[in-house]
Amino acid sequence: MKEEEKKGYRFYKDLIQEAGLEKPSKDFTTLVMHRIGVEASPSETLTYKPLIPKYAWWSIAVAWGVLCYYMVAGSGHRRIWDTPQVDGPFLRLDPILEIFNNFQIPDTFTYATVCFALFVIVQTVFLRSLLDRRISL
Amino acid sequence: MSQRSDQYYINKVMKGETHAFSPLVERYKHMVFTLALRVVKNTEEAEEVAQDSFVKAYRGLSKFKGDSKFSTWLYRIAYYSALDAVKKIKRIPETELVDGYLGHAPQVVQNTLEDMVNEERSFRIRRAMQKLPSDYASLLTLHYFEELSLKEISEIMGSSPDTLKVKLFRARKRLGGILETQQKEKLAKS
Repeated sequence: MKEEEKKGYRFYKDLIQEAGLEKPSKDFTTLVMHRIGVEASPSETLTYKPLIPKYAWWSIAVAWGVLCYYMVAGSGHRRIWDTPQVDGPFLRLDPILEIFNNFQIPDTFTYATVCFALFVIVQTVFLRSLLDRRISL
Repeated sequence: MSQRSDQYYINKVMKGETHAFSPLVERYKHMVFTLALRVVKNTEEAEEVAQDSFVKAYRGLSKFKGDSKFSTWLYRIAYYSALDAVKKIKRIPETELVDGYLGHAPQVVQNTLEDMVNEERSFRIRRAMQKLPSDYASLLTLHYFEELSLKEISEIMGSSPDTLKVKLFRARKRLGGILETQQKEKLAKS
């Protein structure tokens, strides 16, 4: 019985070996290695870097606040370059700033600046959403 | 020329040398492709499955602990990828039902094959293999071509060695039946 089994094994082994293995396409290895290479190479990850850094936003916000304050509270009475009166010998900025005393900002320029700032804010939001969409693709 | 072991290339790949995976692909591509073809029964799909299997193996190489042979691990990936592909395309591979045939002892099959011309034989055997159910065809290839033990095949196919032994007997019987049918059809045509 065992001899018969061995004979059967040998016969089917020869049979299957005769059939051989199937051949994949000629560029099989290249295709696999290409797929692996693409996977292994560090992808160009688009790390989100804000166009305007945080500290710049804070500076803009402070500048904007100061500008608004002067435009509302200081209009007609104070010019934008007027410094608050501070007692003490260490803060004598008046002589330096006096050169700006005669410098008047025209209303047109003020409105233009405000409009420009508004456009920048809208544009930034738009650009950010556009970039977000590109990164998520 | 001495062949380096699989582990040598695996270590290289693990160190970041991607190109070291190429000899492993070259070494096992035929068997992986054959295994995929035995299951999906379509050349294009088998090619896709075989490629996917290598990519999966590359991705999961860090999980390969060396408990089994690299080839066994790779064939398991290929076998299950092929089964997944069949499920995905929801196609039942075409097989031939020949359970009605009796007595396919080696001698009977041998007589059938002797009538065939040599170059025709390998083609006919391959075609007969294609007509076998995927698990039978895979089992025959792994056992008789790759000469893996039933225990090793059980790791690949996820069946017990005892179940595989029964399947192997049925697979042989069915293969013999298909070959005989082919020969009869040929003789009837001529």
